[in-house]
Amino acid sequence: MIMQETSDVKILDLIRNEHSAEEGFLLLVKKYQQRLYWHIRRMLHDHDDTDDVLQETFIKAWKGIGNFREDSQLFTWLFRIATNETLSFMRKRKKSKQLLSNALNDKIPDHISQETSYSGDQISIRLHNAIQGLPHKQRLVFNMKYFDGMKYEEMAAILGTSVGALKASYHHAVKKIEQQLILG
Amino acid sequence: MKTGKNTENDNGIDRRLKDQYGNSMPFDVPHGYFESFPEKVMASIKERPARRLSAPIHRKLLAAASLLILAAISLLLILHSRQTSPPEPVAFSAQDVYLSGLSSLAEMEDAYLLSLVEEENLNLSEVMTGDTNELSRQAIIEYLLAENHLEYYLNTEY
Repeated sequence: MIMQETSDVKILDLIRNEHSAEEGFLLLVKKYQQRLYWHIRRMLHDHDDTDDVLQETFIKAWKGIGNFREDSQLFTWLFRIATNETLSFMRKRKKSKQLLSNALNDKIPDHISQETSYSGDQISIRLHNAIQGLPHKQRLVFNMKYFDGMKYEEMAAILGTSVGALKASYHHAVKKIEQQLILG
Repeated sequence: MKTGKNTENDNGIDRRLKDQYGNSMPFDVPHGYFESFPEKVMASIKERPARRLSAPIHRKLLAAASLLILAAISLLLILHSRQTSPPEPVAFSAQDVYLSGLSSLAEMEDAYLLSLVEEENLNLSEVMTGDTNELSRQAIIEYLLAENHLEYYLNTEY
């Protein structure tokens, strides 16, 4: 049996009513959790980190839903929160890794944690490792275009960057990944 | 339909990548994770003590916090200017605080700002100051804002 998705309009109506706010919010989470999860996971790779950021995303959404002005799609708004939370997390982790590296006087490798659980084949893993080598923002652009199939206009609304800049970023990202995969 | 050269090339590279490497996720998800996640996040929300603020109250508090920070910075600058030692570069300017509009700017350390510059592969010569060739915090912040970088990263109010 296929569950029909609740419309964003219906979800927002429920959330804005004090008596049905929780019901509406649970519907919101169920509707968008997977898509946001994979967006975050592709950046962070680790499930536990992704879980933390995804929770924080929805907590911020709950707090900020009163400010949602409906001049953008609900998913665009959520995606923007998730993106910012992910980048913020990555920056904090980079800082603490640097501090730890300084403390240990040793360089901590910036590769995927050995504890990350993989179920995919080596080819797919190679691709994700190559993506991991991109700067954060470029990695975001690549993931959103390559895996989510987003249009540049949609990405521009989420990232607040021009379509032209996004196209250039994606072009460079694809080139770098291809070079990385050739070098192996 | 007319397309740019880069777009045509992207599509070609895109297809080759997908044909050879696909676009599947090679990651495991714990069994039952998505089934239990909505309730878990709702429980986290209920645990947090802060009530949901209405937008006008939130913005007033933010404005008040920004004014307090501005006042504190002004006081520090006045006190500092009375010292006899040579003047040091200003860490924050009123314009910085105004432009950011967020109290989090006060927490932004030099290392963090520099990491943004490095991450974006920005041209450092454009943020060097005059004769000293030193990296000016104000120049970095204004440059990042002008290039729409910092605005993106600072967008914590939803």
